[in-house]
Amino acid sequence: MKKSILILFTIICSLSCLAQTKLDSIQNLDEVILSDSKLKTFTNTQSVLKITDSVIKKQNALLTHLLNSNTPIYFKENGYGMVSSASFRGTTAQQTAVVWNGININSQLNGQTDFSTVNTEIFDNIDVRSGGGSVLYGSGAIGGSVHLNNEIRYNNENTNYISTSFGSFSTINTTYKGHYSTSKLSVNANVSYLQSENDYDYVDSNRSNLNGAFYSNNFGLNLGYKINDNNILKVYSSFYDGQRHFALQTSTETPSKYKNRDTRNLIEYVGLTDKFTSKLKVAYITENYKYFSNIARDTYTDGDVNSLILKYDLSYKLDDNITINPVIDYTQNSGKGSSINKVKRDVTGFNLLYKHNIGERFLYEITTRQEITNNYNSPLLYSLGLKYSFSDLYTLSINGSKNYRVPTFNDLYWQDGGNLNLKPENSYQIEIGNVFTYKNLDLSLTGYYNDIKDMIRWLPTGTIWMPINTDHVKTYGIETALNVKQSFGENHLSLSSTYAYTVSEDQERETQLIYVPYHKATATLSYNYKRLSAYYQQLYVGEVFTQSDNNKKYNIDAYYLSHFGVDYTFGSNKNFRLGAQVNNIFNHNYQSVLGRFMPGTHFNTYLNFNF
Amino acid sequence: MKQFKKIMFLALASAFFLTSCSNDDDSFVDIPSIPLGDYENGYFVLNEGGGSAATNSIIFISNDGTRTNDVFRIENPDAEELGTFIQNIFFDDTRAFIVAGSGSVTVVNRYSFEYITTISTDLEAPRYGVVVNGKAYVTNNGDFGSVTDDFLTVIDLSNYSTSQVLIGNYLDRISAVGDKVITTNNQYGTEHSVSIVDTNTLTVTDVDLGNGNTSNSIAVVNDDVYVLTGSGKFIEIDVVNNTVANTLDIPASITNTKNLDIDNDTVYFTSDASVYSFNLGETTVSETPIITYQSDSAYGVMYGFAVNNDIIYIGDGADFSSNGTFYEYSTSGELLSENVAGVAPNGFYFN
Repeated sequence: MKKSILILFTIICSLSCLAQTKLDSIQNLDEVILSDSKLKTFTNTQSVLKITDSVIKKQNALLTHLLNSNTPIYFKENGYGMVSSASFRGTTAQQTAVVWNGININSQLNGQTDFSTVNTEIFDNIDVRSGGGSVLYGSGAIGGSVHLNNEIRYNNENTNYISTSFGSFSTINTTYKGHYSTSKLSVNANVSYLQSENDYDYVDSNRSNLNGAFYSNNFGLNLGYKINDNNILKVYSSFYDGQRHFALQTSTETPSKYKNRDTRNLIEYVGLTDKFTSKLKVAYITENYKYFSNIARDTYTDGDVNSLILKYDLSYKLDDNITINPVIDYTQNSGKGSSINKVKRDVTGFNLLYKHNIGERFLYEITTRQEITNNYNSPLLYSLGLKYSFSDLYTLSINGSKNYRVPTFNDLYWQDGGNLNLKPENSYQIEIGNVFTYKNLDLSLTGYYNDIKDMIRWLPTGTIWMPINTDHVKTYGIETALNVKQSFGENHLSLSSTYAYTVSEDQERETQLIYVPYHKATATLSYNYKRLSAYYQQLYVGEVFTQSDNNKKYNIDAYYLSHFGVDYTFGSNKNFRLGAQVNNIFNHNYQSVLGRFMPGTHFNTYLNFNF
Repeated sequence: MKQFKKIMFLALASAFFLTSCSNDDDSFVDIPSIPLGDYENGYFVLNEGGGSAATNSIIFISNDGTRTNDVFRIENPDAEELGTFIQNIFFDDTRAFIVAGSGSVTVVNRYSFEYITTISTDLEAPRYGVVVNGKAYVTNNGDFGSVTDDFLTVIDLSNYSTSQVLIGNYLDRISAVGDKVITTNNQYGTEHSVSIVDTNTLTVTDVDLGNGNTSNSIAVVNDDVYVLTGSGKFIEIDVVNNTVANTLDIPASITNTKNLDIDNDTVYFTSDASVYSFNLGETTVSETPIITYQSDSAYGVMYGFAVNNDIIYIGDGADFSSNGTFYEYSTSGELLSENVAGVAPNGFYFN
């Protein structure tokens, strides 16, 4: 709580600074520095799908909905706004890493991120990186990783943005973002509040969503200060506090609720010399949850983990074409909870990254990581990637890697049953990417194969359940993305679309993993004319199995969703934007998780104000 | 009860016989000439289901072997789902009470399975129930994080009103004898007592079974109460003096004993994939099982178990994420039938 007050105080201070500063007339070139620089320098041979802030602003604030509509990742959602997990390239919920400004933030307790607890509004852009990335992004980067980025710009600008939206089911979202910068200092503050009664009627039914209300608060502050041209200091901090009542499947269920609070703080020092870039990062991340199995009671079960991460990263340019980058990091997690005694774990890791450009057309990159820890046997992780541009039209890339997902606190220390002898889940994978670029058209086509062993599942041994390294899954498939832009005078059209074909086969049962559709497609067609813009969005999610024997009786039908939105910019300085959205236009009755009905046609209106 | 049913059946059969013989006389039409319901003679297989309410199911097997899947949904297409994790069915003379772990007891006609009502007050993680003198008593785990909040729900079956009796000890199975109900405590923990509740005064008395003796199943025969512990103790409880009356030690070679049932004065229980038996009153237990069945299930072995009229019923939970299997065996160990169950078959209930 003290921390949140401190953050609030800092935000208020920075706001008053903003108010006093006059707009600097000197316009420098935009200089953007992402903390997650590895996404640029060492991700040349895998595909990265970029979601810009204009796309973020079109969607509602929940990360699960943004990614479901714009990426090939499949999402489960226990009813609208409820617990949500990802399956990326046919992998499990723990095999997608979520990365906040370069730091892996998957829960140390259960190994995954609940995509309904991330508010997208406070981020400047979001990247989705397909395929293995455990060397760079740690545990869980097997199917791929999702990168939540805040930008720090030194552009002598002073801007404020307020967005307020009101939609169906009494959903309210208010966001403020302030940016103040000189050529040396950059201050970026954000506040977002989201709440919903979430009491929608089920389609074709007289029932409605019960006990589904939720709210969340976000505060963030991101600072950059250039001490001089060669020394930069950056601070990122974020605070999330949310509560959800868990929606009922049947009206007779005992209502429950869930509260969680996450804080993330990162201080980074960057030192630049002619050939060296050295970075020192210190991050402190906390996660805490409280689950109330009966909202009428005060009793709850809980868990929390505090993580300290130290990282030293030295990038050396041997010449213009070769970059060598060793990284040393140290992570200490300490956790406790209702079923976990206070426990600490330490991991020290050594990375060596190497990139070599040969000529204009060819590059290769090699990354390796070895960890030292007493908690599990950590394998050597590595990746090798090649990229060759045959012409401006066509680029081929190949990437092979070994990745892992480490046992979580629950897996290791749960009482009773935690198993200290667990190995990390590990995966060998290879992918071939093709990128075609022709005028205003980009097409990427990636085929991949992923062999995942020692997957952890809880089994009973005698009277106690224990997690065991047991399952073996092979996934393979195709991911494609097509982007086209075309202008006719002042009419601008753009199409961005994805399609994924995914096979994920349990090797023992010889069946498709549950909740992995064979097909998923997304498409957004955007239109812009002067101050008017509109979009039409289509989502297709194929049929999924919900039973391990692939018993069709319990399959969830494929679903189509169609959304439409339009907005208009007002004001002499184009300060105001008023917009409206219709979601699930055709009132399609669909479920994301068996027995969890999702809303039919619903609406949202918003007003954005820039000043 | 059985006798009564036979007499009823005879009466109905003869009535039916008479009506069918008389073409002209309409006065017989008013006499009930139909059976009590489609599910009068046979047994139900309760399939717990997974995290989605849609995956639970109740199968009915009639005495002639006819199978009906999904009895509740067939008879009540417009009713709401039963809830998640269907735990138990218990009966009174005319009604069946279906307990869902998500916090409800659904009341249906015992023989037609026609929906009557749903009770969802004073229930929190309910487990098992029993009827005594027009009231139902249902065990509840309450908050899983706390052992001391466990309670009994008392349901007045004349108007379905509810109240709670705090037991303060992890509750699971329940049986009745006379005016008393007896609960087994803390199947998954270290608690080692049973609780006896006098339903007239609602006073609770614990009977200590001794360290390490956690009871997991209970059976009542001829007003005698027996419990089985995972540690291999077959214990008779004296519910008058609230003490342990008798303890029989099962050989130590038989581990993780569970699933006590008593049928025709023979005691049955299971250990892993085997069934053992001995006659009530015997003082030694044979180490030789009467049945060992094959299971691929890592943890759903003997998930459901019952013995009725010399037939042994076994439910195998498979991986709990797909259909299980249920078996009928003779008491001599002969496999009578092997059938596809629903998801997680956890119990057999007889009409």
